[in-house]
Amino acid sequence: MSKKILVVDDSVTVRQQVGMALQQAGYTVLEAGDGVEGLQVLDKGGVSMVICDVNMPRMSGLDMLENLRRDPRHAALPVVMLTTEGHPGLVDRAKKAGAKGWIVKPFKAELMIAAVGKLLGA
Amino acid sequence: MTNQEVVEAAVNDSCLSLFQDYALPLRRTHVQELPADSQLLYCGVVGYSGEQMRGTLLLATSREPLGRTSPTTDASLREWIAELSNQLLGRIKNKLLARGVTLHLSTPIVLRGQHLAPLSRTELIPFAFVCDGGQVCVWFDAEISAGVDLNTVVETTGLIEEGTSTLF
Repeated sequence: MSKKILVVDDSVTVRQQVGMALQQAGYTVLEAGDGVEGLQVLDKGGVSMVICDVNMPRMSGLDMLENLRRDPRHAALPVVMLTTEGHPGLVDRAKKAGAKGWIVKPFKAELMIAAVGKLLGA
Repeated sequence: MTNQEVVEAAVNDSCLSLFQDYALPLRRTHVQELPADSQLLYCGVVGYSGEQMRGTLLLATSREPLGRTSPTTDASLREWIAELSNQLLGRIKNKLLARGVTLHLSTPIVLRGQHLAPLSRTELIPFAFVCDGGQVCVWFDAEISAGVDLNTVVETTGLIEEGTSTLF
């Protein structure tokens, strides 16, 4: 069974773009439109990895990351941030919260898939 | 360079490089040279704020540049111009970070209509670009705080550039 990756982004276009690249690489894709929805999807279980935008309405990606790390079930879940942001302060905050990577849009599909494969041990 | 020139260079370079990354080369032109029937139908608007600067970015395009840069065939143009506006302001933000400016972005909103243009506090001339069969205009309304000198280049160790991927 293919591994499930949750893509959290308020842009439908980005979710579709990321989703297509992941599906072509053999992964199953789940989607959420913001951090609140993302945590709800994670609660259902079965997610192997999260790719998450930073600036989103309701709950940002960094807030979602910090929230999910408080849940022992998700303490080791690999999370990669995918964003227009490149600010070192935000990158540091993500690192401290346990993010495993940072990709700045527009992303290159082959780089993203390579990063996902490395983190999931593919 | 004046503060205005630093900002203009950041906006111009960011717009050219963003569309280039989506395989659509743009050519800078003067707004007066855009076709009289220019169909700037879609407009993404993103506000920004910070201690040194605040204002709004507006990205307006005709249908062609949006359709040609959209990464998926079934994406709505509304969705896509919102995302492009966000990515454009993200690039400008990263360039201005090297000048010591930290900006916070709002969530984009989208307008659709004919002859869209902002009604700004001061005269605001758009950055006009053309591509094969289409036009792109960017208005960058910037209110720079007193005493800010954008000629000061600061160390930006750790800044991650567009299109790159870093694993920790």
